[in-house]
Amino acid sequence: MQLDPITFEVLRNALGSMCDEGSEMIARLAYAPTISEGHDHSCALLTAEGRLVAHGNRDQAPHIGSFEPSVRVVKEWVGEFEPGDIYIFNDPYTGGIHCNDVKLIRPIHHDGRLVAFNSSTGHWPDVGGALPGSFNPRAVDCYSEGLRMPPMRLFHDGELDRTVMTLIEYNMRTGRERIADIHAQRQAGSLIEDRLLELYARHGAETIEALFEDIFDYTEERFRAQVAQLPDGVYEFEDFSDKDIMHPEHPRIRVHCRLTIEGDRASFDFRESDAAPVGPFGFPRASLETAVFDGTLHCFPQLAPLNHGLSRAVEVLSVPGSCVHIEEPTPASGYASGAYEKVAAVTMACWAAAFQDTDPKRMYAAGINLANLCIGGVHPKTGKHYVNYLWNEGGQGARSYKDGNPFQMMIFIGGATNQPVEILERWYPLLYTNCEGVTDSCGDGTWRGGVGIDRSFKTLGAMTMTMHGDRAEVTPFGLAGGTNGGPNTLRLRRAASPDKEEELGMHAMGIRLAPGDQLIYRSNGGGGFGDPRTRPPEAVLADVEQGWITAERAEQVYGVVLAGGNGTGDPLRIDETATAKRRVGTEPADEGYGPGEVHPLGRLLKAPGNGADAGQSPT
Amino acid sequence: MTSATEGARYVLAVDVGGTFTDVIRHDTETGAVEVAKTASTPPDFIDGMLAGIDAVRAKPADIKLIKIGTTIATNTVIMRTGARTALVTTAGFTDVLHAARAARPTLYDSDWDPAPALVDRRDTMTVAQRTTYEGEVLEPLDEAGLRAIAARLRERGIEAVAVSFLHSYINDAHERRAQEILADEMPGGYVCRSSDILPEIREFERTSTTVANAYLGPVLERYLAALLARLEGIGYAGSVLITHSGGGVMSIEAARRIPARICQSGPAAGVMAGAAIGRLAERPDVIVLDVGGTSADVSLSRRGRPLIRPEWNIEFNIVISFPSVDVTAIGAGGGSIARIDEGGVLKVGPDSAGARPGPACYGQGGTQPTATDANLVLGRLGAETRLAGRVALHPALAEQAIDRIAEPLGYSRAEAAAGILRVMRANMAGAIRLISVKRGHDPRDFALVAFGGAGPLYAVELARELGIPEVIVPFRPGLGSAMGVLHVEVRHDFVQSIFATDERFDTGEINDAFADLEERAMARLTRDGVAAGDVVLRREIDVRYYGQVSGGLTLAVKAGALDDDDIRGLFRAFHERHTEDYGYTLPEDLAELEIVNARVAAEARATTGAEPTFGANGAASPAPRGQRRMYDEAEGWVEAPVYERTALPVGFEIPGPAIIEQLDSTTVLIPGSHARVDERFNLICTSG
Repeated sequence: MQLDPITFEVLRNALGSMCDEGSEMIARLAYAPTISEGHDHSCALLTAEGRLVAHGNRDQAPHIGSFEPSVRVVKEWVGEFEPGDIYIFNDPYTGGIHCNDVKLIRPIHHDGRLVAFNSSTGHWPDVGGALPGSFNPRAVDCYSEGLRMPPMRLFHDGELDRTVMTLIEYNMRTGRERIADIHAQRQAGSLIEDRLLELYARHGAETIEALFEDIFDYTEERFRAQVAQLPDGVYEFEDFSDKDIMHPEHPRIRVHCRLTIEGDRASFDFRESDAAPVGPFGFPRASLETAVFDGTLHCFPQLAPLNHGLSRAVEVLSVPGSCVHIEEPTPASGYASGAYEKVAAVTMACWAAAFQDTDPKRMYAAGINLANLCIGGVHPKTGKHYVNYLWNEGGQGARSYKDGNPFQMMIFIGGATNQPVEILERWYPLLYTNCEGVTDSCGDGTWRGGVGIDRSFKTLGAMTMTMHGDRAEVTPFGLAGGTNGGPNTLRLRRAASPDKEEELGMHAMGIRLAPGDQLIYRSNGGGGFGDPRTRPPEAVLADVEQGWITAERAEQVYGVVLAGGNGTGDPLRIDETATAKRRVGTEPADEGYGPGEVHPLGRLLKAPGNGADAGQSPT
Repeated sequence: MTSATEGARYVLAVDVGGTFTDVIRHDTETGAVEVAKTASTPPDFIDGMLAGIDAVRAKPADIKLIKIGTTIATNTVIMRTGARTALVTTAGFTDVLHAARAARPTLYDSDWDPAPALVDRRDTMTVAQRTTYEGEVLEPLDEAGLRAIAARLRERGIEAVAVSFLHSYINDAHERRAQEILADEMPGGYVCRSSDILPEIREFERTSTTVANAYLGPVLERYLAALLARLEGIGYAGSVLITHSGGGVMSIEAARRIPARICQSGPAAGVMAGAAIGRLAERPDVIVLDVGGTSADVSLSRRGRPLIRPEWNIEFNIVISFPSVDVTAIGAGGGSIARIDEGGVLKVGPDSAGARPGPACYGQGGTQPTATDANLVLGRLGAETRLAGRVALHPALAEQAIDRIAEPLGYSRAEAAAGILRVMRANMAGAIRLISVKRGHDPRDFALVAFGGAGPLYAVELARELGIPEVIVPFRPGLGSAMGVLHVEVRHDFVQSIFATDERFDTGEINDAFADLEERAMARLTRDGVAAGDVVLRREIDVRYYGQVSGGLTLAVKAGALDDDDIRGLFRAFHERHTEDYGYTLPEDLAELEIVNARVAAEARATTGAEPTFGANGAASPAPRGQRRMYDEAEGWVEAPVYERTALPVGFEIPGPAIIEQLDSTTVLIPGSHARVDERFNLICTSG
């Protein structure tokens, strides 16, 4: 380390705070509800070479890892940067993510020399393509997913370029409104530039540039030191998507990961993952790296935030053309509910395998998978067109030492929240029927996953609906004998035939709904950890009392038999004798990838403090 | 304020904290002030308060008003010692409370857990009923079902019930009826409903606030009854007012109805003190820094008034959505612990040694180095300094503790200690910048008011770091919250949503909204005992670009009937301010503006009477009482004169380096800085 450890800490925090400030600025000024309400934006600082130094504490993980490749592309494209210029860029294949995540990249100069970049990302609500919102669950290529922008100079000498702005306006729904989001991101960049130049003025270029290198070294050294503590070996895990929606007869899409630890080196090999499907699921190479870093930081939280020190210390191997390394024109818009969540989950499962003997607290079962519901139509009361996204929170996976929480956002979410029912009903022709945990949706275990949520609603006007999700069939996996969590669900009960329930699934497109139709929209519960028959009966009793699980589930899966509790002053209690008998007689769950089953590779992991065959004989 | 007792001249301001109770006696005829600090006496805190009243030698017959700030409500929530509470909500919506907003504080942290809700999920009951967003009843209230629920709650020993139905802010009929039925079925129970407590859209925030209110109801009921009885017992029959989180005081009756309003009133009072100190010192725009043992409270005050925010989290996910003084706590205090992480880097806080064992130099068994130990090692605090009423500090213990980090870092003791303070200052500066940006301000446009036992130790260097030109240290920095209580008047804030844009607005509707808010404000203040002629009303309106959610600007609105030109003037003002603050406005075809809220702040006119005067002129040019070696980061060890704060006369000037000590705080002037005593005995410091 070149700087002293005190100056280092002081200045490193200053860089983190300025990114937090930038992110706040974007939320404050943005126009797009995806940004201002959904907090789907990020703000970062990179070196002149395009190495990531710092980002906002509540930013979105998928954006963060794409900053380095994006700045790299812009640098190759541009050559000489001038002060006052800002570039816009969103190409998924070279920069990462999907077209909706639009980046502004600003070179920062000090004394006439390029010293750094600010890059920010905002998720624009629409970037053109076949469908409002640009998500296209039946896309077979990227050309139906919106406008792809190479690096274009959006501001020159501080002035907005009319041609570029008009290109944007011509190619997307509500394109003109994006000027507000552009200003929000521009203003954040201006703040970062001011703050960084203040640091240059006060501490000198030499100190600040030494700081950048120190930050990378500091992160990399700590990461390597921790990896070196882990046993050398190969740790393997796999996960699946429900299906290739364009070829549902094909086998499930497999994401496979092999983590090799050798000394202080960690390498993630995804080369055995399936080829890219015809339909949406996959993501480009840059996003693969991002998802690996995301999963890794969840297992090494003391290393957060992400910077180049970690990204250069982790090797990621993939085959071009595979589902985790797609190439043009394979569709990319649905990456978040597709490849991203699977890669982050298997990354964490591989780390869990590596940590199981040395630090079992770093073991986490999988949790809620995004299932985006887009509605659009004309409001029957106001006559106005509307488009809106709906999403569900859901169950967190169990930790190896405590339960997962119910009602959490997806793992890659920083600042986003749920949407109030009262606001949604005021703005859109919806009448909600539920905001309620889905009983029995948790994966079971010594520690259970959190339950998912039911946010079902009725329509009050005609509308078109599109769902883009996953994990209706292959659900968030459990570990160490814990079972997989409950499914994402989308079903329809039409007003015209209320007795019939139609399964819409996770790739429903352009479904026409009539007033009074009921949508049943429920989210994943998280996977469990450890054998459910080892969960203390008192904890199972409390789960039933709180309504997380039913008495039937308690008996069948946990082997806990309850008595009483029929409202006659006889409280619910454990039937000790019946429980002792039942626990011995309860069979472990079948192996498989669906709800209530046990992931075959997950089962091989050990629960802390137990032998490899933990849970085979309940105590 | 109406004076309840004829001829009485004293106003008492009482701040009941977790450890100490501060009492200020203000003679409204002469301005003279008497202060006392006594030990707080949990669980009911009343003995300590009466001891304080006794200590300021205020005979009950001479007291005309007692204003109380108390930590009891906040403590009840944090310690989870409130009533066993149930929630009754709309069928199908069990988890509005438990799902909260599904937010989390940081991106990469799978070990984090949200704070447990104040109502158990098993005690969350649902009843069939439904109202639309327009107030239309879709499904009637299932009264028989509700009576059955009441029977089950009785059986479970539930003491308090919160009722919160969807869209009750627009039609409260079902909630009113449910409250009647529950009150009838559960005699002696505390029942409140969301349409009374917080009639605002957003079901989680309204429900959470109502639940907190029910949770506190029985506890506060008992506390307030006991308090009044004890005051009556010593012969006091005058007015008692309680401070609330919105930076005002309210009547006992209001506190009983909305006890959740009392939470967070301590920090709010501190902010009010800072705002008042700035206002009186003619620095209306201030950042207020209140540093205690475990944390620092930071807030912004503009034009003499603290910023108000619509809600705050008492813990993450435990939201109370009343307009509240906008104050943020950061984990940096005298007890903040320094350590070296596994990468060899120095970290300070947010862990704190607290009051027990406290910093190593307290000699109570603490061995980890803290900020206080660093200050002692660097001569900023002296061995003879007494912190928070404690006996003298132990420099040798501080030195040992600092050496625990100095040695592995390869630093001298002084360098390591200075490093601790530097990291801590950087943490504070980062938080202040972030808070400022969030609210759309630049810290360099503000003065810094520093108090709390530890605030003045850091303020001057912190101001230099932030580019803040001036620091104000009040005469009694250790009495921050009590000073705030002294300065607050009866105040309530009222908000109403408005749906209007610059293209389609109905001036009549806006006038009606303000009229309605002002009527509610007058009624509330009158109930709190304020004469109608003493009510001061202030109007504001929130304007933003149509489509923005968290942004926008709050603009002042003139009193009286508005016409269309006045409204258009507001939109023009928005464009001007936006350009000023952010350097751009949107193109005209896009720049549709939206009025979001009308706001009315209602405050009682400041109590007439002499301004409280702290301090008294001593010798014209007091000599320093001694000299101490103090460490400065730039210049190393320097000799600094030590002044006794109470001896400094108005107009006295002190160049840095210098140390100014007093019973409850120490002010550090680094080389290059400068201090002057103003007419109110504040130290006005320039950071240099």
